[in-house]
Amino acid sequence: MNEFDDLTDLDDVFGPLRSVARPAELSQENATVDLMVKAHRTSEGKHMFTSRRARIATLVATGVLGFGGMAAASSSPGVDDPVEVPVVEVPVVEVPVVEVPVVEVPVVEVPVVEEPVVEEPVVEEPVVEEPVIEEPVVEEPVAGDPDPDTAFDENTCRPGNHGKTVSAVARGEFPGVSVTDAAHSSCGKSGEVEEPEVEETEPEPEETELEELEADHSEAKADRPDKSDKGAEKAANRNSNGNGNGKGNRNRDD
Amino acid sequence: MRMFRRRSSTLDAARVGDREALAALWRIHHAPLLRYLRSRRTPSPDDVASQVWIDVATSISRFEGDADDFRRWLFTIAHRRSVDQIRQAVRTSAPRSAFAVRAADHAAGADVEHEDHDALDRAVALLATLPDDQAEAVMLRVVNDLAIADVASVMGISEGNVRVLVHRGLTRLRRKLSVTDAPVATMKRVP
Repeated sequence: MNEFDDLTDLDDVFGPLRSVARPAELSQENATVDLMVKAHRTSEGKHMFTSRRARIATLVATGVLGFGGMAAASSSPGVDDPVEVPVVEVPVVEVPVVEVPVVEVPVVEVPVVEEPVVEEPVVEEPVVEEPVIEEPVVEEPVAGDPDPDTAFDENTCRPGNHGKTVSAVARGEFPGVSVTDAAHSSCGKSGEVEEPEVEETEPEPEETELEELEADHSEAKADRPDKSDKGAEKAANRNSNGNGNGKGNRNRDD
Repeated sequence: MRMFRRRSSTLDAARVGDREALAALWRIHHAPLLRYLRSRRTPSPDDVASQVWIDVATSISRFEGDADDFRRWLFTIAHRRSVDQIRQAVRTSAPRSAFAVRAADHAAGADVEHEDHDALDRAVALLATLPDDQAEAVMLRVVNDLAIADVASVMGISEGNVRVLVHRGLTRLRRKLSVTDAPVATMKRVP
């Protein structure tokens, strides 16, 4: 009452207002108190469930009992019910997706080297005009003047001319003369048979071995007499003709 | 302090519905409550006061606090009931000034036997001449000795506004009293 300390001038107003209750103001005490008691009793019944705390507690208890009862009823197997095997849920492990950074490889542009098209010059092959080979007219040899190289004449046969003579007979340049006769003739042959010098390089065998070898050699000769003769003839031809052909003799003549 | 303890025990008993406790609370607070309602020119203040006490009895089991809290709570209920009654009277076109006129007439015809009663009526009639908010602030703050915070809580306004209203109400009362030395009843007489 600090700000209202000096209210003496208003005591005529506030004095009666602060005074004790008048009997007339308290005349309805019993009736009003009865109503209050009745209202209080009525409110007890009402507020038993209308109180905020009581309502919250009731809701919580109801919820707990309800869900607990449902959970218990659903989870507890009955006597006749088969036993339910609990399904173990394997937790799904989420593998973290590792995002590999995309490395952008710089595209190296390889310069396209344009190879110059080398135009191969068309080589025009010159048409080679093959010269017409005019076969020379072979002048048939005159009978009185035979070719010394090819004439089948004993007199004209020169040493080493045997092969050419045989070839000329085979070409038919000498009609009436058989090739065999020409071959067996002595035309062009040197007539001197040079026997080759055989160098005995093998050591002489011992007497016992030599005798055995001679015996075997004699038996072999008895079995194959022709071959030895032919070999002897071939050896004679070789000695007489050199290599056995006309060229050798020609070269030798040259 | 003795008053506080006695009222606290009374409140504890009243919470459980003790009749004597409820009657004691009624005897202590009914007169200020009725004067408060009259100062606000509430139509049918006795009926509104009875309704306020029924509301108190209905809700006192959930009330928590001491005697000061109970007074604040009581006048809060009275304020709301008064507002409801005034709004209802406005809708029914009931004259709000009837109480003031009746009190002034009653004060004018006062005799020696009812001198104290006349003085109370004159004081209530003088407060009724103030604006509603000023008369209510003066009644709660000066007459019933409520704290400014409690007055603000009851009226639903700020504490500063309470101080302003109280100051203006007292100033206006002094001005009315200083204009003339004539009795309050003569001054409040309605032509």
